Amino acid sequence: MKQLLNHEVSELLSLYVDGELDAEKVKFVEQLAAQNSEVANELNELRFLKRLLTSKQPVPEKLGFWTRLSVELDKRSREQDNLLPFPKKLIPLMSALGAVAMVVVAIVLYQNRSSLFQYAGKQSERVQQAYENNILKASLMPWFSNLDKNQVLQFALFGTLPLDAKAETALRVDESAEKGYRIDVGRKQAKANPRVTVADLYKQINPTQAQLLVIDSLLNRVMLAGITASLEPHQRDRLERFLQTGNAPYKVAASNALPEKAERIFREIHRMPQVKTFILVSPDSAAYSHIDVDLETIRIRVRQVEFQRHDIEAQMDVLMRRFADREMSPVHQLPAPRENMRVEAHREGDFFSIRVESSSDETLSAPRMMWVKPRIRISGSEKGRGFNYRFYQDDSTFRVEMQGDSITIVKMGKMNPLHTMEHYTLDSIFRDPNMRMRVGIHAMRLDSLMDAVRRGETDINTVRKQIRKMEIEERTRRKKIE
Amino acid sequence: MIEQGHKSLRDGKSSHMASQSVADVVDVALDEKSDELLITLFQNGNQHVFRFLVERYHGRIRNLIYSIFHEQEIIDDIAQEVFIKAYEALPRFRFESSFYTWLYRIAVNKSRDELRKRKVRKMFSLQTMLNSSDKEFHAKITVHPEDKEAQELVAAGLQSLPEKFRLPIVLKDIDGLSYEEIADVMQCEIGTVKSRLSRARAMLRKSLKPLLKDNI
Repeated sequence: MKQLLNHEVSELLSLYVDGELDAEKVKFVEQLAAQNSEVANELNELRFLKRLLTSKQPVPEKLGFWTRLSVELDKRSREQDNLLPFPKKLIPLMSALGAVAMVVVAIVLYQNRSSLFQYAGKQSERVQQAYENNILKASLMPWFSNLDKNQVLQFALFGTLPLDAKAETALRVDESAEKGYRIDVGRKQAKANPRVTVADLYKQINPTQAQLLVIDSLLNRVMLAGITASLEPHQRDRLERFLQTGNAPYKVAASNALPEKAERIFREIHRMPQVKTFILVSPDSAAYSHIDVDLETIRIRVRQVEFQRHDIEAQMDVLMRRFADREMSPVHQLPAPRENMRVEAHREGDFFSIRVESSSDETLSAPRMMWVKPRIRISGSEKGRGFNYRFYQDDSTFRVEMQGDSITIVKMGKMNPLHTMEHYTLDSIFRDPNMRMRVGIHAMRLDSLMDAVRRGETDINTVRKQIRKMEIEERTRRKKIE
Repeated sequence: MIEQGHKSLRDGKSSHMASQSVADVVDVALDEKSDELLITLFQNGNQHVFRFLVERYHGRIRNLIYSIFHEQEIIDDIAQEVFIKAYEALPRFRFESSFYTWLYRIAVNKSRDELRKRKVRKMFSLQTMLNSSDKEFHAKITVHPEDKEAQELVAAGLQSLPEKFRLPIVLKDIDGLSYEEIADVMQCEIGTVKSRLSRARAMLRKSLKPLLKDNI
């Protein structure tokens, strides 16, 4: 027993109950069982198990097994036959014929390849032509067909688009209302807008050559947001004033973007690591704090808002239809989906308007479209400069450097280290040494200004004005070089 | 005559009564012939003899499947698939093993396919997972051995074994195959069969401990 391992004994016993051992080993097992009670017990258990298994009742016979099987065999055989359009015995012959046919077709195609290429080329030209005629010339969108660049600009700036020249109808989008928007459709314009041309715009904003290219392409796509994004801050100020003077419905600073599907956003959020530490930045302060975000509550809230938006859209649709059918009085108010919401339709001459207004900031506030600067190639020695972001932190300060076409380098100083929310306020604004290349000879002047701020000889606003002044000087200098 | 018999099988009810009776006479004689002769006839175009092979072995195949799964509902479906596979493969049978071990091999492979499918389903089914987890099973039979008949307990014990240990014990103790035949069916070495059989019995003894204790 000692010489054999347990599993070897078990295997020997297993062979013994199956009658697979020779006489010598049978004798050995029987002796082992006689000497060792554990082995004897195991042997008895194995015998009992085998008896149980051997005496297992057979599963009852099932009548009709063959009938069922033959029907299934017949069915499968028929299905297999039906797949072939010819008798099975002809498979080799048909395969050979198929191969020959393929070779013949390949030879014919190869011999006629030049005419085939010609045909394909012609087809491709036709597709190209159809695309240009129908899609690029916008015949699929009749409202926007035959619009020239100036009309596009007129719509982009002032939101008025001629629908039908003969009928003198126009579509007007009005976003001037602070807490809502307005869509007007009518025979003539309620207020006369100045007629503007692209040249007027260029005269006002004075764009560079690169900006001209960008604006020109954006004009064709009727995207005012794109135009403004291509401008420098001071140009945006001028454009904004230009639009205000012309009673334009748009503001330059930002435009409302269509909200993304909330569910999609939440899916993205879940994929990100769930951080609880945030930096809240305001124009002159930043707070470093731990915030627990309850995504589920936000999700529910957003859903509610989305449902309300759908309600409003549905109501607007109803109003439009009813007004078109002349069933409405000049001013008509619908019960709004929310208490602080107002949905109103009214008439001004041949125009009718639908206005959605909110007395609260929280409703219908579509996310603000962020400024996106088009990638404008920078000529000369400043190649390769792109957007860069760095963050430094020590016990009492942190510094954020955002280096791009417009740079902001902010150093924040900690105000109250004992507070649970670590609060930082603006310490100073300065140029990164890396940016000396950009500001050229003005680098030393900037440094001395910053020193003056530190010494308390001047204030930060003066420095800002100086920086702005230097930027303009630098730009003028570059323009002269170009 | 055999061709007529084959026709009667394929045409079913539409076959002629006279040819049916002639075929029956031939069938009685064929019923007593060996597997080898029937297979040779089959391979020579007399597919109707397949019926005799089916009738000869379908009971054993059904028993084997029942022993593996212990579920009456699926026996006929799997058995049918086994015989359909055999029907399709029989023209290529080379007499290198006996017909019934070859048929058993098909049955074992079909059962393995089914077990594999169940394994995948089990991954997605909490209920199945709870019902069939080994721990749960042991707990059940250890706590209430007296609630079940010995046969049922043994069947349940078999179900708790992994497939590679369940098959040799079914083939050996229930179907009475020799070690060589089991090795042929499972396509492994005889030594593997011996060790798996020994381990399977050890596992079965362990799971049926209370039952064995009461009876020995």
